[in-house]
Amino acid sequence: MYHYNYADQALVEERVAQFRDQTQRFLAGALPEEQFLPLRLQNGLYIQRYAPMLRIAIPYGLLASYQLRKLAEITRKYDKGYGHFTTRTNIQLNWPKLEDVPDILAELATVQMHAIQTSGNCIRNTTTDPYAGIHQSEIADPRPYCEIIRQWSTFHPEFAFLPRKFKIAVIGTENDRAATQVHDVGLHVKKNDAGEIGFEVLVGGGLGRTPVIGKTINTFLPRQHLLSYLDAILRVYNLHGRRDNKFKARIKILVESMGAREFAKLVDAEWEAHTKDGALTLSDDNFATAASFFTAPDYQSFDALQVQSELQQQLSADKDFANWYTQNTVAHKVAGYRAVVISLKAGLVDGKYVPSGDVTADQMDALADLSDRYSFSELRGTYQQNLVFADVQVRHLYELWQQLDALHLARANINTLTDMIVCPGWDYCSLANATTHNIAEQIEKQFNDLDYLYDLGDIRLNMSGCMNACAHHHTGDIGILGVDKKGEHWYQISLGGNSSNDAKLGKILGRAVAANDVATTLQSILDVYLDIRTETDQDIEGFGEVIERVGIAPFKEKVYG
Amino acid sequence: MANHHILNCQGTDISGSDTWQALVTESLPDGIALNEISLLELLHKQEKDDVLVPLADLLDAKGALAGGLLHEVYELLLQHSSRLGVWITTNTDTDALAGLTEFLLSQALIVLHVPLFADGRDFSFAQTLRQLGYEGEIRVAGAFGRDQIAYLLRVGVDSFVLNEHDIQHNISQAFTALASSYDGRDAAALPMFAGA
Repeated sequence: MYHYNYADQALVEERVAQFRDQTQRFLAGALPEEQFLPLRLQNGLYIQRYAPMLRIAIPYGLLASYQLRKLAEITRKYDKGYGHFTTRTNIQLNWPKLEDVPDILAELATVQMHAIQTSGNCIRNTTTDPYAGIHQSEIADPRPYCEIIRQWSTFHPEFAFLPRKFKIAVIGTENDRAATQVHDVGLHVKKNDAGEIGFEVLVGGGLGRTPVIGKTINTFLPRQHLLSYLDAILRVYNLHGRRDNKFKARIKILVESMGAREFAKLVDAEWEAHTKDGALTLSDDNFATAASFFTAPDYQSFDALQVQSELQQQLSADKDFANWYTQNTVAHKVAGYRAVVISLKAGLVDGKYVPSGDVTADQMDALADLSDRYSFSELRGTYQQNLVFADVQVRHLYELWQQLDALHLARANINTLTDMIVCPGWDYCSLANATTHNIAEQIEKQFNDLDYLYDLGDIRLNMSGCMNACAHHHTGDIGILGVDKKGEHWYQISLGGNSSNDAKLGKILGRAVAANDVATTLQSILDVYLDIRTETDQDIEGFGEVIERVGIAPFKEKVYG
Repeated sequence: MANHHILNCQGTDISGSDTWQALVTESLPDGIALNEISLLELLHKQEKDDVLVPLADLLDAKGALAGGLLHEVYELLLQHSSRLGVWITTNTDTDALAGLTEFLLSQALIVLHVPLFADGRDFSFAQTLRQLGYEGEIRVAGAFGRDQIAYLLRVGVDSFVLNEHDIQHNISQAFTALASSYDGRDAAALPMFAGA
């Protein structure tokens, strides 16, 4: 994991001082609201329905145990004792006081954390694969590149007041677990025939009210040009992106309006005229320095046979553990290790619904301790609003599972219907048109049988409370969008979306359904799926495959017919 | 045009010694320079002044330096002024950077007028001018805010037209904020490569 040096530390401390000054001037009436707004957003601070919301950056999802403990402390001291993990692997506090925010930022700075550029029309937190560095089929670890991008984009003086927000995701495997095709820029690590590392560069993806899949503008950008090329993309966007209409201001609109080929030409012209082969060019030494922060931890070797036989005993003795092992653990490139996904989708705990991505301060402390004991003191956030222990010894899985289970953090539902991505919705967010938590609770009550969920297989359900699409409803197998109809909350359902390699936008099923009818409508949809999917001994046709094969007509017929 | 001040890159008020005057035109926004001068006045004056003209009025409809209201009198302007500079509104002249490089590089002063606080095109304008090798003065005017000065300094801006209200509340902090941040031009300046 990257550790701040003197310069990084100075930067975050200078930012705290700057924001303290800005907050004081705002509260004293000396800084106009129209200027304070973009300034506070660039420090992650929103004013929401009931209180400010502070979004704290977790760069590319990597979090150390000491940082998580500090987050727990901050949520107790300044908030209501919990935090909310987002799809950009950040964490949000829902109840801070505006005047406390400079103090919160100062406390974060003591553990190399901040809220820099977690909102606003600037380059946001870069995201990546939660299994970076541990995946067998990885071309190269994306994290060093993420860190280089983090440093380049932090306080980049030219790109702090872009037409609109700008999000970058990087992956190092063929499999896309970071939704790169719906990012402003997606970078896929590639290796050419000469064995050199570079990137396929996608641009202009995004969701919101005009969802678009990103387009490739460069099939192999040698890695030394990473920053100068990004710089050229950003400059073309900053100078040419629309500023007359907030809803047309994302780079996707610019790319769509001129076509990807024309856009690529503009970028190339800008790049060759000003920055290519210049001082932004990265050297092999630079890459070696960056990679040195992401070396393999001190893995041990085990007697594979013994480990496997112990595991088999535990799996056959305890069905719940076996379910969790199947759903919530992931293969690791090092023998004797697995990655563990900690479900932040507890569903109903003691009859009370726990919102997707929410973690209490006590759970944070406990997770910090567990990561110290079982996973080299590191955690990772995921796009699906879960956490990952990346390096757990297989022989520790059973005891880890028991402890997670006691914390309500071992629900064996990863990739199932109830592993929902859900935005905070109307209950918190002033942009929302509809509530989401009550609908998620309704779904939890309807689909609480794990065996049924396992029979359905992997299904991604994403629910957003408005068309800003923070929960990426367009790319769910099932997407739910809350809409407002004359002051009532209704829910529009779409089917067949996908954020992975074969990224697709879902098709809208039909008119929105009433709040009380969402779960029963889902039941109808799932009945159709189970009815028409093809099954062989080797393979069960997935939800997306069925939509691909038959379209949405049979589902429409069942729901509205 | 009262109540404006010009601060240099150290945050020192240089209003007293600034000699630039904006040529009066129909589109002249408030605060491009501390003083204005009309074309008539300029042509009749004995001594030569430093004069700022709007780039937009030198260009034809296609953005070339061939037409425009002022282009016809440009030679006269040159003769009657000590130094010439241009002011640009980043709202309309985005393409000027690509097409008018040579002309821009010859200016003694380029004033970037910012139409809205959130409109960040001026940052790319300034950065590009520096990358093109422009060595004259870059000044920002208009609706930018003091909290953007730290970034504007780093993209190569030399001076700032601020109003009376902006320079209160310890304006010097605006010039020292984010002291460790970099200019976006050099990978070697990133914390992990700078060896700090």
